[in-house]
Amino acid sequence: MTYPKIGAVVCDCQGEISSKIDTDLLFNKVMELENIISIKHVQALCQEKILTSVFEEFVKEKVNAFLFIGCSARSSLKFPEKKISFLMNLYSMNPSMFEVANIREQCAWIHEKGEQSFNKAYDQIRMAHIRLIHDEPLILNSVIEDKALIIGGGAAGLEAAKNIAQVGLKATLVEKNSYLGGRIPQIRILFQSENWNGKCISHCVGPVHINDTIVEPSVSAFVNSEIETIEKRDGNFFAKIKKAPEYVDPDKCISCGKCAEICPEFAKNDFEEGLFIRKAIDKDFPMAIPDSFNIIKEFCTECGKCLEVCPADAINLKAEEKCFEDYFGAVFLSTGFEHKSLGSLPEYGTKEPDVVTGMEFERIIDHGLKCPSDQREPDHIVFILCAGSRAVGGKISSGVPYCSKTCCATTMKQAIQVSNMLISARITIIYYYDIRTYERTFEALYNSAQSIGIEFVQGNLESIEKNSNAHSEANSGTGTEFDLNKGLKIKLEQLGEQKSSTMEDYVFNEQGKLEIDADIIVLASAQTPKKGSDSLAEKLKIPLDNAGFPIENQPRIFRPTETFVDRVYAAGASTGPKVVQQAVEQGRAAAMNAIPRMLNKNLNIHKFANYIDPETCVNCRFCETVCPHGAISLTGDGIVMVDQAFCQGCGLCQAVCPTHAASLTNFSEKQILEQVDVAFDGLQQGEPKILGLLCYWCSYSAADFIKKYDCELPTNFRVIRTRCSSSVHTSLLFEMFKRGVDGIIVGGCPVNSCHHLHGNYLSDRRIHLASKLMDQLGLDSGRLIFDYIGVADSKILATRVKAMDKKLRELGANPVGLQQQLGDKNEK
Amino acid sequence: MKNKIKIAINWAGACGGCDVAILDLEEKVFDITSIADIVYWPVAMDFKRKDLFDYDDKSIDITLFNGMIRTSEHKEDAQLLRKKSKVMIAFGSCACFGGIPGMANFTDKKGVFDCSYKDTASSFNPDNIFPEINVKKKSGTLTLPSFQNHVNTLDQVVDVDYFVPGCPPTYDIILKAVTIIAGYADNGDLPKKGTIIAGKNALCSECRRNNSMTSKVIEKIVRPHEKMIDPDICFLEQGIICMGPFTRSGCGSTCIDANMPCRGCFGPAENQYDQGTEAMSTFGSAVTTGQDDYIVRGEMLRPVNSIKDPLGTFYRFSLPNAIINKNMKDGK
Repeated sequence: MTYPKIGAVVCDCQGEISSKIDTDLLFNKVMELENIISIKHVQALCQEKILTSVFEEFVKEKVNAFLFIGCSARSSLKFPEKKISFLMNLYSMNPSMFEVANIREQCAWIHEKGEQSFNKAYDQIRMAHIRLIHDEPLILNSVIEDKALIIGGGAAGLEAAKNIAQVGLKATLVEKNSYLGGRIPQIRILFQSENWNGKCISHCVGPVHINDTIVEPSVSAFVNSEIETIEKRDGNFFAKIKKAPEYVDPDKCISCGKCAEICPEFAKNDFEEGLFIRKAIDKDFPMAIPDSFNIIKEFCTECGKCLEVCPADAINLKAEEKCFEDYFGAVFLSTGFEHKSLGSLPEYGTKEPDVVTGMEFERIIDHGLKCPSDQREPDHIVFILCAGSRAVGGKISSGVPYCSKTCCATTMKQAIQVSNMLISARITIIYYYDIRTYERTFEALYNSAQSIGIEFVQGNLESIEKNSNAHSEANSGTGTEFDLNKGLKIKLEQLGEQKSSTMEDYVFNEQGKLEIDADIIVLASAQTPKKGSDSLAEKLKIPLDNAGFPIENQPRIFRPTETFVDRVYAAGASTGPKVVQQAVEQGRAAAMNAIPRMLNKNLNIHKFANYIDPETCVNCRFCETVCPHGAISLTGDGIVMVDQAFCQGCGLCQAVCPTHAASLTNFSEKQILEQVDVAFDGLQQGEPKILGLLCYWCSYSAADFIKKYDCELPTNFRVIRTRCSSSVHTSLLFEMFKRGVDGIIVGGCPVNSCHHLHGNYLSDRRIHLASKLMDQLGLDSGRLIFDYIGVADSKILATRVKAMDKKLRELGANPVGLQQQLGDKNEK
Repeated sequence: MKNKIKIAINWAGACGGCDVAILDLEEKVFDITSIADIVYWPVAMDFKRKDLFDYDDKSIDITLFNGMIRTSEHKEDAQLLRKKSKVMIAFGSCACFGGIPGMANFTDKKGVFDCSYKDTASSFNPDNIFPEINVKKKSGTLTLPSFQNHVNTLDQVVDVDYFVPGCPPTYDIILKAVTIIAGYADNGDLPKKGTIIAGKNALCSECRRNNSMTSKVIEKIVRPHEKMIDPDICFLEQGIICMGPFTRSGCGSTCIDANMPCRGCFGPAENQYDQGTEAMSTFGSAVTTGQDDYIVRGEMLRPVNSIKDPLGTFYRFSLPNAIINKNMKDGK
């Protein structure tokens, strides 16, 4: 091992530091530390001139590691760690090789001048220094491939592929269906946007959007294809793609339709949501791209008639499945949505053919609006909003808990379409708590729907069933006179105050019940993740939320479409309910995330990455379980491996590993303990030693903002900035007690805000368990606490530290440390 | 024939299982007697403590010492045997790590006495009579060894050369120890001081269920009697606490082959601090429903709360050897 040649800088911060801490004395003491080959004392390092001259001298002196003594690497507005990383790169030093002793925010700003605060500052420097001594330059050799894999060729996927291709990178688009465009061609009339109440006909804009993408020379689009396997290899994604046999060569096919004309076999058509059929050799719909016929093998009898009539010799019934594999630098999940299946909920009557979903109704509209059961023209069409959505409280088992946000507007759109197509038909919309047509377009649609006489009923659906009086004598019906003889009956229960519908056609009876007859019932059901997207997520190891959508990486407010796995992006309805324009936006956003990464080819600046020692690893795979970034997997050779390119350095693996085989480079357990060993050297005898293990982003910041929030911290508090609250193993916490620490405060991100998905929860659980043991061992469990401490929670931190300080003064020194001091083996 | 080496076998705070394990070697025990003379084995042969005093220092070649150190007598025996022997082997989990009786370290002498002589339902002790070191009777003064406050491992009391773990050490491990003895008898060769005569890595490395581990979380902890245990799938995978990842290998997975999870008698593996803190870190992380979005804290903690007794579960054999190895009586 080569030891670093450290260049240190003591910064006065124009008096902000030097007015409280004697920086001249510090300077002299730091000079004595191991491996310091150069040391500068500056007024303010952040001033460009000073900075340049310091670093130029460092380069001359062959400095290869940088110890900065000044402001916080996390919270400094002028000299944050990102800047330091860039500087290190600029001056050809490895960007792993720096540490910062934060003596401004966490010392000078919050303590009075004196021996205590000086000693604390020096201890903090020693901690940063000892850590720097054992830092290693992290070098990653992986090169990011210039090819992106886009899974799902709908609105979002197409947009992503196009943008990737337009900058000269390659895009491989894999689509499960036989056509591109996803849901676009299924929906006859599309909203132009949420902000502009215009419409587009999908067979106008759809093919243009699709062709704009696939004509790009570096886009390869594969239909009828699926991802067989996908895994991470050398910083990239290695995928095997399976393409169904091409019985009709799309290159030769001229879509004349002669084959379909002669084909005797009918087939199910998924494009039509199964409501209308096609031939075994056919196009799903005329405008489908690629413009080629295809054969659905399970319905084909291989009679050979199509072969005889094909003028282009395009048909080969013996075609075989093809597989190919490739490396990709980025993966896009744009797998779209499907409607929440309500089949298991008998109250929705989905067994009745005339009860349809919103998407099925789109297809019915496109085919001239007839009842699916008997091709009658419907007299009464009833839409039911929130079917299987917003299922909370007592309804929790009857659907998804969320609002799909698009269904209200889609329903208004469809209702208006119906009113234009069938002038005499009646339209009723049944809603649950409220109508949620947000923004300009959708609210305008709602207003139109109200003004053209569409009936709105608020009620809780009790059941939908076949009307036993249908087509019988018109005398025994309930409800209004219009409702006789309709095929379906809806039973409603009154919700809230409203007793009658908007036009007063329907009135709830004394018992709060109402029955409405209908010809077609459209269930505006929830958008849920596409079937099979969960297994894809499992292969890529991206975490999903309870509803099955990918969770975006934190801080998600600034990282839309990024999943927890580096360079896996999720766009469109695969991330949650969307309208087409939003899906396009996301496809473009995702591409913009990926493009700089792929153009740079090199991996981002990494300082922390996990390594698993195969010598001591026992393949328990718990690291893989907790890894939020999908960086760990079991290889074919049965070895648990980290792909460091995907590691985001949280150290959750380090804390779960039973054999300490998993170790975080530049935040190793050895480094942590060495920091602990020097942390309290300057502390007066008898003062409680309180150690804060504060998480990188949130809790550490809270300590930086102590002054801003007018709080106070005692001088006997020292901080280690941990990668995540969950980087530190329980055995290490106990070892810290043994080494004399009196109290430990572990701080993690607030609930739902952990940068590593669940590090804060894991920490909470581990420390909860540890305190149970401490109770059993007679060590006061108040010596070890965990709390969720956000950036703005400086008060919570201050309160916790102060309370602990008080408690520790009552308890006295930690007996484990005392026993160690006296010598455990004194009984020999 | 060469001179035979001299072996002593001693029994301190233990159940006797270690001695039985040696006898369980059956005819292999003669392998020992062919190369060694047993010069002290109070549990099996007619030796008295007095005989020990008479031996010259370092005149015994190897001492196999089983049992933990609880009383002044245990300690004296240990010190005496150390003085008389060239090689001291801590034999069995009690001598190595404190063993099952080591769990008493969650309390102290007073706690043990109160429990044994006063508080248990079957105790009738209205006069609060407890064992004492000296009791004067008409016929003279009776003395008993003193009872220390806590259990110690052998190496906390004397210098130990080798460790043979196990509760009791398994047949194969004892044979391994015998091989060492034989090697010493042959040519005086000995392994590196401090060697633990067992495997190096954690037990999982030799477990035949190892490849059944998936990367799933443990959603619920169940106890072995609460479910039908699949004999081929990793216990952890089935929600049953197994100490395998926190325990040194070398036992041959005998419990696991009997479809019972490892309880940890071989002590911590190399690189591990102690069994309990290691296990708590792993289980604290991995025992979860895995649904971490919009969850309430109580629900989140529920899975780990099902671990009722971390000390008894994780330190069953090794509390006196742990980082925090006895009741600290913090603030008292």
